Amino acid sequence: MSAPHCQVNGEKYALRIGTTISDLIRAEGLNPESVRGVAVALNNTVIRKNEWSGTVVNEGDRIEIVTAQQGG
Amino acid sequence: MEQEDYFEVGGLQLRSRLLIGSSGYPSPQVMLEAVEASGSELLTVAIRRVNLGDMSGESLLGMLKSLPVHLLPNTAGCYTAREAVLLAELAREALETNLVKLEVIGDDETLMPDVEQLLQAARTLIDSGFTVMAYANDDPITCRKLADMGCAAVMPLASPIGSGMGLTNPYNLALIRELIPDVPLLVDAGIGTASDAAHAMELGYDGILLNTAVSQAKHPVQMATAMRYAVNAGRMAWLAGRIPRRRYAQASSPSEGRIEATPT
Repeated sequence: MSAPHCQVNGEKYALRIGTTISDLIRAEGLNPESVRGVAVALNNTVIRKNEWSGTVVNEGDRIEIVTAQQGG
Repeated sequence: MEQEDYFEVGGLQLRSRLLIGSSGYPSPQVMLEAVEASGSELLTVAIRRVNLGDMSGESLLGMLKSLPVHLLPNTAGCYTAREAVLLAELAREALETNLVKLEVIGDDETLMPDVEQLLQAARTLIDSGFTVMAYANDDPITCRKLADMGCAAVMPLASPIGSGMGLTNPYNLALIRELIPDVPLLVDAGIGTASDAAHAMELGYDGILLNTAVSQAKHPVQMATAMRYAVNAGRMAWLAGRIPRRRYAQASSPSEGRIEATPT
């Protein structure tokens, strides 16, 4: 049996027991406490910033971590 | 006139009727200079997956802080109402704004709106408290529906996004303005040069949203300045009221007191 994974921005991410949204933000090289202009969706539902550290990610979850980019 | 003629949308009171995009400039520095030269106070941004190393997130937002602009996140690249609604919700969370430029497109070739999905997404977002500025087809019926359901602005296209084809159907745009006098209307997409922007404003539009015409111009900062003047000129001409068209000439100089030369 392979280790549990989730999808972060379309990429496979190996989960450890109790991995939270904050851990995923850290893995993107960002500080979940201080980062601005970033939003997260877990399985198509937005997770507010103050819920990141308490939201545990499960096997098969799909997470989107987004920010502003140049656009028209 | 410029001091008093505000454009109001979503609780904002704007001096400028030119909304500009932040994409496709030769460099971040040129973008900043062009946005400043345009006088725009509402700048569109896209919402995309974080990607360290590119100009996005905190580095982009930090840079834009030096400008006197509000951010208008878009839902560019969405093909379904579901995608667009989720992206708008993410934008609201990331940028702490209820404003959204709603874009739900139907294909890659025309980037024209998918009306069915657009109307569905607009309804959902309005019900969730968003201030929706909807990118629409130049179709009076769709525009009317978007206005009636409570969009803060309806934004028919002049021609396909990035095409620079200008006003391909000014008749429809004029019709839409006549039929929807009570909701802010902007022309969004397809503007190629300054006269296009002025023309749309002369039809009575409340504003112009453009990006490529400036960012891909040979001299973006200069074109941004031209667009600023064009939007102002068009607005003033609309307020001033153009003369009716006549089929025949009408002399401007008086016919009395004309001299006569003796025939030779």
